[in-house]
Amino acid sequence: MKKKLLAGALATAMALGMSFGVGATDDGSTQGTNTFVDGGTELSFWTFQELHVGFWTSMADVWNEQNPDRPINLTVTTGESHSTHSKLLIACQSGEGAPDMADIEIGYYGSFLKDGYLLPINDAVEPYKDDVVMSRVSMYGDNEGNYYGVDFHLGATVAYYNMDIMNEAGVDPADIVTWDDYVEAGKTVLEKTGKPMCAVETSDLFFPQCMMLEKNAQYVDDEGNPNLVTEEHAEVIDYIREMINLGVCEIAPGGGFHTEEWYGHLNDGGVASVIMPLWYMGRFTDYCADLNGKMAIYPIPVWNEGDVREVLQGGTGTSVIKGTENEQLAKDFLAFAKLSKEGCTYEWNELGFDPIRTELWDDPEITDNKDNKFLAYFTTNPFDVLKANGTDITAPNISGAYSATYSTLVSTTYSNAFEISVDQDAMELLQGEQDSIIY
Amino acid sequence: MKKQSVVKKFLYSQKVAPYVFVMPFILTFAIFFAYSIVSMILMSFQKVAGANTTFIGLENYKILTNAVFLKSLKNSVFYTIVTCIMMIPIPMILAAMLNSKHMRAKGTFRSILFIPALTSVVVAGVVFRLMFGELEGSFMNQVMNLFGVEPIIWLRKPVTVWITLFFLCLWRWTGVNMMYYLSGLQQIPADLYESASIDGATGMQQLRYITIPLLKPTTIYVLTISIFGGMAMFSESYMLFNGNKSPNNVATTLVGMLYRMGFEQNQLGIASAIGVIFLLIVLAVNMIQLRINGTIGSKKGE
Repeated sequence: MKKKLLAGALATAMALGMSFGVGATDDGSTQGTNTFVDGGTELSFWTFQELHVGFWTSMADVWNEQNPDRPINLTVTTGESHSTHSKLLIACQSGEGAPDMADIEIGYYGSFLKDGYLLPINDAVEPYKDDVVMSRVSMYGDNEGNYYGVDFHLGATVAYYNMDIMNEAGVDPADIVTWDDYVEAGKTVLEKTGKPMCAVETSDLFFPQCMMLEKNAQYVDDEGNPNLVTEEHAEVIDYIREMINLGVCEIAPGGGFHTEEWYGHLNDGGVASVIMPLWYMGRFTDYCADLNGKMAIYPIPVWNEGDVREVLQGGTGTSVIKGTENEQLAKDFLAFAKLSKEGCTYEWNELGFDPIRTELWDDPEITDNKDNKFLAYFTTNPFDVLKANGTDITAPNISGAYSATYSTLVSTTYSNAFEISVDQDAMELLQGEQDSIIY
Repeated sequence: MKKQSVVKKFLYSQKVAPYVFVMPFILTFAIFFAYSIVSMILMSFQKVAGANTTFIGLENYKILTNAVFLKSLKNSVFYTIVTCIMMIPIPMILAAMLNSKHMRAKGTFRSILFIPALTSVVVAGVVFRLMFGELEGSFMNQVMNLFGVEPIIWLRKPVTVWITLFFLCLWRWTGVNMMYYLSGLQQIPADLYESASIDGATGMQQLRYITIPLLKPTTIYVLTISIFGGMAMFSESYMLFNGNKSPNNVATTLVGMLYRMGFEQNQLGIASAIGVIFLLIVLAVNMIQLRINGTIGSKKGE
C-alpha cells in the first residue's frame, strides 16, 4: 500500500513538474534582472557571457534613474556561447521567440548581419558620435552607412611582456618598434632563457589578424566576399612560419589563447610575450595570479617605423533584434549603456574593457586609480598606449562572409599553415582554403 | 440518447479501436518525422532566410564538391568502418567471457563495463579532453611517461585524434554491445554445447561453430546500430574539440558539418542538402548491409 502511495506521489510530482515547466533552466542558462519599477517597459536580453549580466542590469538601473519617464524592466538571460548563438539564430530565422536585444560575438555577427535580422541604430548613436572611437561602431555596419551594433570595448591590441623573462634576457621592450626588432629580441630571449618570444594560435586568429590589419589587409573584401588569397596574408604567414623555424614563436599549447593548457603555460612563465587586445587583461587577472606585477603592456610592433602601433581586434556587438515592439527604447538604451560615460566607466572598472569613449583616457580618476585591479596588476599603464595612438585605428571588416571565413580560418587555415602543412606554399595553401569556404 | 449511442458505437467499434490505439504513434511520426523529412527535402532546394526564402534549385547541392564536406564524409565513413570492426568482436568476446561459468564476479565486471554507457557524452567528452591534454601533467601523458614516451600532443595531430576518438567510443559503447551479446548468448540452448563436448569439440570449436553462428541475429542488429551510430557521430567530436572546432577538420563529421552550416553559419538550405545526402547514404548502406546478410529480400525457401 505504502509503495503504491509513493509511486502515485512520484508520478503526480513528475506530471506537475512537466506541466509547469519546472527545470526550464536545465540547459544551464541563468537569468538576471534590474530592480523592476512600476510601469517599466519589459525588455528581454540574451548574452553568452555571465559577466555581462551585471553590466546590463546595472546600466538599466542607471537608465531608470536618469529617464524616469521611460523606465525599463530588463531581464538578461545567459547561457553557453555556442548554444546561445544558435538559439538566437533560430529565433531570428523563425521570427518567433527572439529577445529584444542581444550580445553577439564578433565571429557570429556576420551571420546575423547578412540576412538582416538586426535593426540600424544610427539615430541612437548619433549624439555620442564625437566622443567615441567610431570604428568600433561602424565595423558592425554595412556598405550603406548603417550601424547595427556597438562593442563593449575598444579592443586595442597590445604586446604583453613578461618582464622577468625580458630582464633575464636583457631586452627592453620599449626599444622594440618593428617586427624585425621583435624577432631580433626574440632570438636574444631564446638564447638567454631558452623560452620562445611569443606564441601563435591554430584555433584562433588574433596574431596573424593583427599583423594583417597593420598591413591594412582584411579577410573579406569590400563587397563582403572571402578574400584570403592576398599577398599580405601570404607574407604574414611566411613571416610567422619563419619565426616558428627560428624558435622565436611556438604553437600555443592547447592551440589557442583561451585553453586550460595555455593559461597554465603562460602563468608558469613559459613564454616571453603575448600579442593580444587589451580585454585580454582580464584573462591575466583571472588565470595568471603568479604573474601579478610582472607583466608590462607596450604598443605592438609594426612593419615600418612610423606606422600606427595599434589595431582593434575581437569584440562583441550588442544589437537590437528586428521585430522588437520597443525599437526606439531598446536602441536608446543600447547606445546609452555602451557609449555613455557611466557605461564605459563600468566596463573598465568591472570588466577590464578599454573604454571606447576617449574622454576616459585622460580622466585621472580612471587612469591613475590605484585600486583598479587591472592597473595594479600590470607594471605599465595601458592608457599610455591608447593615448599615443589616437582614434583613427583599423578595425576588422566583419561584413558578408566574415563568419564563414572565420570558421575556416580557425578550423583549418592556421592549423594547416603553422602545424600541418608547414612546407606548402602560402599562396597555394590560401587558395585551397578560400575554395573551401561556403558562402 | 441516440447521439450517445453513436459515440458509444464508435468507441466500442472493433474496426476503429486499433486506429485509436496507434494514433499517438502515427501522430508523433507524422509531426516529428514525416513532416520534418519533407520539410528538409524542400529546404534543401531553398535559400532559407526567414521571410525571404526563395527556391534556388540545386545550388545547395554544390556542397558535394566542397573539400571540407568531402573530408567530413571521409571522416564519418572511416569512423564508422573502424568502430564496426572494433565494436563487434570485442564486446562479443567479453560477453562470451562473462557468460562462461568459469568467470568470477560476473556482476561486478558487467556493471563496470556498462557504467560508461550511462554517463553523458558531454561529460565524457570534457573528461577525455582533459585526460588527453597535451601538457606533461595530463593523464594520458603521465601514462605514456611510464613507458618512457615523450608527452604527446593528442588532440592536434590526425593519428592521435583518431586514437582518442576510438578510445572514447570503445570505452563508452563496449558495455552496451556486450549487453546485446549477453542476451543473445543466453538464448543459445545449453544442450548444443553439451552435445558438442560429448562429440569432443574444444572450446574454440564450440565458439566457432555454435556461438558465432547462433549470434548472427544479434550481430546484424549490433552492426546496424553501429553503422547508424558511427555515421551520426557528432557529440564526441563536438565536446572533445570545444565546440566542433577540430584542427584542420581532422574529426569533423558529416553531422558536425551539418551543424556548422545550419546553426553556426545560418545556411539552413545547405544544411538540409547535407541532411538529404546523409539520409541517402545511410539508407543505401543499411539496405546493402541488410540485403547481404539476408534480413530483407532473402530467399523464401530458407
